[in-house]
Amino acid sequence: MNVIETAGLGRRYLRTWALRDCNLAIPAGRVAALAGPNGAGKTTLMHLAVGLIAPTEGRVTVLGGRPAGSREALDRVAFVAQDVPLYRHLPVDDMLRLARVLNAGRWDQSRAERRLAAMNIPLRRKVGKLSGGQQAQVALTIALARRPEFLVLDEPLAPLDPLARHEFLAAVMETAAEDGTSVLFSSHVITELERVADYLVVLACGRVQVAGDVEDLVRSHQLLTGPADGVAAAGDRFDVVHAQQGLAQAQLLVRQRTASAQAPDGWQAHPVTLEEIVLAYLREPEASALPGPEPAVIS
Amino acid sequence: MTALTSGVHPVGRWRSLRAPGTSMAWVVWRQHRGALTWLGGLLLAFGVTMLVAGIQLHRIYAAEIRHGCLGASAWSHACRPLQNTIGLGWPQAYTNLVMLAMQAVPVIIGVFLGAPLLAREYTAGTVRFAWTQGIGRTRWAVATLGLLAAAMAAAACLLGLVFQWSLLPVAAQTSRLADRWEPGVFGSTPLTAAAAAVLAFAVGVLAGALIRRVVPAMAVTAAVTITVANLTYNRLHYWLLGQGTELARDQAFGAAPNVGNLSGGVLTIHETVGHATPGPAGAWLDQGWYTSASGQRLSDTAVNHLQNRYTGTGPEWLTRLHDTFWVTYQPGSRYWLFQLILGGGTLLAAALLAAATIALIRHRRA
Repeated sequence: MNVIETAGLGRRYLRTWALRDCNLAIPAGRVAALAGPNGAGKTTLMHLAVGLIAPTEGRVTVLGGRPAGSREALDRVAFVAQDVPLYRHLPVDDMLRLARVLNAGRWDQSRAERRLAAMNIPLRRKVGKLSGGQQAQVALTIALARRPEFLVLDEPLAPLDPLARHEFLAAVMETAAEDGTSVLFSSHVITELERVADYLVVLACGRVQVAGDVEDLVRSHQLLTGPADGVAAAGDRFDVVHAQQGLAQAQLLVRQRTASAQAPDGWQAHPVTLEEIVLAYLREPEASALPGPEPAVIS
Repeated sequence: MTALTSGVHPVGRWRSLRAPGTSMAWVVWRQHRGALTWLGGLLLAFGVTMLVAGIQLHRIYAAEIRHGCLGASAWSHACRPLQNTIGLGWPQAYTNLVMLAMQAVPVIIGVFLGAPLLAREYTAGTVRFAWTQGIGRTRWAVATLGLLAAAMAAAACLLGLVFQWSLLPVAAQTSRLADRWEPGVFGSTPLTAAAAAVLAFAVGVLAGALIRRVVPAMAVTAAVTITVANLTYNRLHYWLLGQGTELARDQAFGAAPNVGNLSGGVLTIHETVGHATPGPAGAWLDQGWYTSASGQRLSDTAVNHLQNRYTGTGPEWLTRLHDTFWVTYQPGSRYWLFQLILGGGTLLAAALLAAATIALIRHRRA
């Protein structure tokens, strides 16, 4: 089952395409990171996935073919929007009660209360009076108490300090591990991606640039260092994502065309981290790698 | 544990919505507690004011009945101060004031409850929360709008009831000020007041959904609801009551028509017939005109001439000249029919606006 599937998905605002020609199929059970510069279409893709906006073209379904935003999808998809919009004038416990009514049926009250107690978040305090980190935790608590099969988080780490980021991601990971919840989260914080994500989607200029399994991505990308005059030869065997050339030496971040591709003579190959891969693609919006599973065609 | 946590079944979900403390009603109340509290306080104060004034008026009225003051020629020593009070004193100003206040109630509801309802969700970004919950945005909107509209309808209905009751003595005493057909009274019965409140609320909600900013939405709502009130009370009312009228001869009225504008030989009466003027009892008079013995309608000049020449010479002059005064009217028995038409039409307009709002919520981006 794919947790989200898009086919030819596009969304236009007035004359600008925020997302175009997006074909994605993220398998269920993954923690998928959505990276990309500002304005790349991350929020648009997430809003399409949770049905807040309708596509201008194409299709998007979640959890094995449920139309995004439909009742049967909303029931199982929890979304924490950017800047964690909650009713700031409500105390935390009333916010919980409200969410409980709006999600009657699947709501897990004891789970919510346990989480908040563990984080020492005062139940009677107004949401607006909590720190940014605590507000994010309340929003996550509400999302988790809905016992979602698919958790969508838009820039959840932005308002958090490093420690809170750590705790937040730990909570997400724990849920993903315990309940098998699929997660899609967008972030600017690339260093955090590698620790939690096992699937990566990079958007650039409203298009999917990279989509694939993190392990596959790390395995298929290499950093090559060699003589500056040998760049063309390396380019014959590899897709060069990003090249840094000095007078004598060149450093290339490349993607293997085949698993057996070997570095040419005089070149040294180094493994790369996910962060380096993401940065290389962000620097080269034109480069694209879609080594992941072929997007399923939605009939 | 309540049915809430255990009921995954859809039936359980609906049942849980009705459970006390965990219902949509609680959610709506909790979210709009501030606005509902001060709005409720304001309306309550208004209602109590009318209640207190009404008790005074009914006390005077009861005294008048006791002293037999309601007959046309009952000018006893005991009656005069009572009649003077109701006919000339504070009840006159009171009547005009509460009529205006009743017309303001829907405007206040639309501006301060309707307009911010969705506009605030948009500006605060909380639509992204509200519309991604399991309940779904359509059911969320229907429940929120429906519950608040019902609450406002109930409040306006109660106010309309107190308003009508408090004005009964004034209506019984003076010929037209508080008559049930008069726009200010006709438009503020329990039925029409409730309908007007719901319509203004719907206008406000739609304005908020379209404009998405609180203050501009409130301003537009104020402009629209005040215009609607103006049109309803000043034009729609007279137009509506002019439809499907009956025609009758009324020589007594024609002999001393001290009301209305004359234009093209037609007298616009737009007045009700209480006990002080003759005519079909309890009816609303729309228009009147004179015809000569040959059946010709008399011109403005001819009518003016006749009235200048003969008014005050006794009620028989018209018949003596073989002229006839014709009047179109709505019989008193149609009062509730027209109440239903105005109230129902207003509710229908509100329902259309609500449907447009729901459609907007369903199909527009957050």
